[in-house]
Amino acid sequence: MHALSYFGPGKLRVVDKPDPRIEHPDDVILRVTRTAICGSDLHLYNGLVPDTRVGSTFGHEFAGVVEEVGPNVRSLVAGDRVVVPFNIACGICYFCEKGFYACCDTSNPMSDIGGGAFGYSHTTGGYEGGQAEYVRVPFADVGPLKIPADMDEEDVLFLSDILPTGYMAAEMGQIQEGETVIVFGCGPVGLFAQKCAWLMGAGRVIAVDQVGYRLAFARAYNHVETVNFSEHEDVLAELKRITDGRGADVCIEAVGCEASGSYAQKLSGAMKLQAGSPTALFWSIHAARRGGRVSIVGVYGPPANLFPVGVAMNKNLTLRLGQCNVRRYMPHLLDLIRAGTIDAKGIISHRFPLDQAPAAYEMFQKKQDECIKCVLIPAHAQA
Amino acid sequence: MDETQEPIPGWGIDREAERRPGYPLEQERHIGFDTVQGVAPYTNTIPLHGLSGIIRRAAYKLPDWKPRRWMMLMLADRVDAVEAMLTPRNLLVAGGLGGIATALLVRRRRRLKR
Repeated sequence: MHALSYFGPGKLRVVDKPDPRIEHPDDVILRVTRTAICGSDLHLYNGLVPDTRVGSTFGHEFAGVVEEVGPNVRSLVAGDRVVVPFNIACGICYFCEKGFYACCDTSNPMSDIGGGAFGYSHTTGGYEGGQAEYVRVPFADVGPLKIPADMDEEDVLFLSDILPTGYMAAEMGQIQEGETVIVFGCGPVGLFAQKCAWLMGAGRVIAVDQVGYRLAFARAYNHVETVNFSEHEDVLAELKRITDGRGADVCIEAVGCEASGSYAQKLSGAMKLQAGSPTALFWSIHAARRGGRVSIVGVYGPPANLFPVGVAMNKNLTLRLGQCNVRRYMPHLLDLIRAGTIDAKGIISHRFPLDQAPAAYEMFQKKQDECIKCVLIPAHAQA
Repeated sequence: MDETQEPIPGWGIDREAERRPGYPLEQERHIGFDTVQGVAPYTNTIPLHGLSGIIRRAAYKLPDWKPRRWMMLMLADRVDAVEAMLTPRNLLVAGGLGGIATALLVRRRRRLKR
């Protein structure tokens, strides 16, 4: 099969790989019909996630058709169309039973820091990802969600990660009606976090980024106020000014470890003095009002980052953070997409054949051609 | 929401915390099925190899909380990327270019001696 393969920082190729096979009775083999490039895939692409082995296939956002079914799988048959959460979860361990699918105790033998995930280095279990023609899906009775007959793969593709992550980001902010929410980042997760903040009754939603076309998209897609931080010498002073001098009730950090905005942070990240640049995290802590809440869904690697814990402590902030427990959110968000409340596929800006995935990564990374979200289509699924 | 703004589709529909799927986080949501025990769900499609494999094996012996573990894994990633470049074709090209460069240097030194 054709699959994306990693050859070192900035080096990707589409190569021929052996087809995946059923290895465990709970597996299914999925023929991928749509797969997307996530902002967090760029951290892998740039070599920022430890234990990313040469030859790995990325991709944790995908949907497709069940091709082969393991003997113990009861809820799926060949031909079913499904969308698959990025978490790999067993469904029965201590954490899965409580709905913490991102923390599954069974799926990641490589590390204690979290559960398994598709195509996201050996730190999350070394599973092959979905930017390929076929992918093995473990615990197939637990994660995959059947796609209703009246919906297509692109309608629900983002239930695999970015929409639930945006929703969970807003939910962790414990937004009360009328509150002011600042969302750092207008990438796909930031866009969905902004939208979900409205669903939870926010009074104001303010989006912060430096990319003009993304801020314009956020205004059109989410009706939010926007602040371009590159236009302000002191963006925190500006954010305080527009929030009655107090700061926001809730800050959502949807950027992660490759944030712009501070040369010192960038330099210390590049020198490996810390795991990337946590500028958006700094700003989230400082832009929240005293006693406010900060929700962090931007991805950081396991090595340490410099973190203003003293500011957070003195401001009496509540911090909530984590990888999304995707499966828990899928049914609710499917209903919202179906009702027309969320136009999830409205953020797709580019579609590429799978074989052009390296070019798609480059475009997404460099934010060329007003790229918001790239979807890859394997040859067998092209119309 | 500001009253002068256009209505936001779905504004406030999840105002009630009870409607939010992750609330409360301790709520039990068992959706799993009984899975087969005793068979590992994971695989190892990219086995350890070479110098990067030696570094990774050493890193895995360290606990997660030690930054050294992660720095060693990142070092192994870079070594792995270099190892991936050491294909027979690349080695042949590098050897050829090295041979030509050495021959030119030797010739130059001989001329200078004369």
